[in-house]
Amino acid sequence: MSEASISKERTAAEIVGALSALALVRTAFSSQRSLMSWMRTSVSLYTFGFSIAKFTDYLEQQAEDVELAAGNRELALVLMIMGILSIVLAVFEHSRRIRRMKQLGLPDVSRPYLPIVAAAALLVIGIATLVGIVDNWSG
Amino acid sequence: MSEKAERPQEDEQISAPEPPRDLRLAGALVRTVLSSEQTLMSWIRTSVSLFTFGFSISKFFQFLAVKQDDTEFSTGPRRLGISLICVGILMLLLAMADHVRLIRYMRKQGLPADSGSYLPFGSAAAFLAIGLVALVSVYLKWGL
Repeated sequence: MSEASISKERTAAEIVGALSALALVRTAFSSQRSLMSWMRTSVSLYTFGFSIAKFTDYLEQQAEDVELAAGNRELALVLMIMGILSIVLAVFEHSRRIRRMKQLGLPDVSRPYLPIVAAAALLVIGIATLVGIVDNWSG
Repeated sequence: MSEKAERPQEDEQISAPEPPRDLRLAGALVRTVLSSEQTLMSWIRTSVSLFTFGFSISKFFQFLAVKQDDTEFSTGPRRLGISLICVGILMLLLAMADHVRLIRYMRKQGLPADSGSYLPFGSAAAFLAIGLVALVSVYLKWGL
């Protein structure tokens, strides 16, 4: 986008260029929001999985002789793995879109990398949680 | 919106002696700022869900551990809760900074002065404070 302010005269081409750049910024924001939506989905999946796993452990500690109905731990694992997978795929989708938009001239102001950093942090937490749970069960 | 659909054919007229006032750019700037506000609100939702998940998990298992007289039991949930809340706080801070930066940039580009509100920024600050309280509460094992 050119540095000229809109109060100054802009040529038609400059205006079209600025409009396209702003449209790209909005699209990048939209893509960020989609990724954040995936982050929320993913975090709810793996925290529910974690809670189910831990609560199952608790229930078994409470009543040691009782074997709980099968499926709790499998459900917990499936939820956690789905959460981790979905965040990985969503990050790939977002970065692919952003790369494409960079080629089309996305201005730097849109800062599309913050949600990727957040998603990476949540991914690390999710994997650590999964490893902790599996390690706890096998150990 | 109909304005936008009609104007493209009139591009040649912009350099005419008495050009019509072109509002497309001002409109696009306002839409971009609104989009940034929506993104900040999305950050608020994300951070708040991290705060509430982190808080609920650590407090629930803290409660179970107290009930069971087994203080070791709740370390995993507590660590998960603290990391979720920390990620939420950090991301909300960075997102607020990004939003302010974008608004400043848009003002330089000619964003109309009366557009843009501080409402999303203010609520982000309020939720940030709530997140900090949640973090302190989990860290110091308040209650129970």
